Amino acid sequence: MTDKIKRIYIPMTETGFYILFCLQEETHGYGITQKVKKLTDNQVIITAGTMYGSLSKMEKDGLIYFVREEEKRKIYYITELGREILQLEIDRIKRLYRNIGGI
Amino acid sequence: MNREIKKEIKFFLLPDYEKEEEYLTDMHKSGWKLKNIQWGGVYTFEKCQPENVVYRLDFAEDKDKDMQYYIAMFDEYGWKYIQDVNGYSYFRKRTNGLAEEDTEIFSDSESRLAMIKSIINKKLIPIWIIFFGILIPNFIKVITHSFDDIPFHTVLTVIYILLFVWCSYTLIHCRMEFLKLKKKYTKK
Repeated sequence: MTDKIKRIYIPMTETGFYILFCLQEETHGYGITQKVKKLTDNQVIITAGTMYGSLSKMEKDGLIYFVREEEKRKIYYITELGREILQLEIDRIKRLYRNIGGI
Repeated sequence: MNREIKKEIKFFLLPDYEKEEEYLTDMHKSGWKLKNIQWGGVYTFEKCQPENVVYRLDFAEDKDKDMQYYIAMFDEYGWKYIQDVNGYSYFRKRTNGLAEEDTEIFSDSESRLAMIKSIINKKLIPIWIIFFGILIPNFIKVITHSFDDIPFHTVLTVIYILLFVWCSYTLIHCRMEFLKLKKKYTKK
C-alpha cells in the first residue's frame, strides 16, 4: 500500500468509513445512503453531492471499482487496497474503543 | 397557452455560488421558476405558483464522462437537474416536509471543502495563469510605451489600464471570497 493513500484516508471521515464499509457488498450510491441511515438510526445521512464526490474519489484512488450498471445506477465493490485501508481503520477504532474503557 | 417569461441579467463570480443558489430559490419562492441560463448570465424564468423549493449548485470535476449516472444519482435523492453552466450543475428540489439535511447536497464539511478545492484548481488557477502570462507582460509593455507608435495609443492605453485594474480587482476578490468560504467550512 502506498503511504500517500494511507495518509489521505486514515483517519477516515465518518462518511468515508461507512461508504467503504457498505461496499463489502456490491451496492450503488443511494443504496449506501439507505443502509447507513438504518445502521446509525438516522444519525448519519449521506447526501447526493457528498456521495458522488466520495465514490469518484475512492474509485480514482483504487479503493473501490465500478462493477456494472443496473438501471442507470453504478454498482461498486471494494478492492483489495480498499479492504486494507478499511482494516487499518477498524483496528484504529478498536484501539480507541479499548483505550476509553470499552471491551 | 404560453407561460409568462421574464429575463434577468446577473453576474455571479466563481465563489458566489451560494449567493446564486439563494437568488434562484428566492425567485422561485416568489413565483418565478428558472427555465434556463444563457451566455453565462442571462436568466430566463417562467411564471409559476410560488413553491417551497431550494436550488443547489454542484461542481463535480469528474462527472463529464458519466453525466447520465451523475444526473440519475441526484434524481434518486430527489434533485431535478436543470443544466450545466461553466462547470457548475444546477439542481432544484421541493422542500415541503423535508428535513433540513435533505435540502443540502453536501452532508459534511470535507466534501464542501473538496468542491471549493476543485473550483480553484479547475477554474481559478487557469485564469491566474492567463493573467500572469498575458495581461501582466502586456501591462508592462503599455506602461513602458512600447506601443506608442500604434494609432490611438492613448485611448488604447486607457482602455487597457481600466481592463487591467478590473481584472486584478476581480481576481483578488475571488481569492478573498474563496478564503472566506474555506474558513466557514473548516472546523475550528
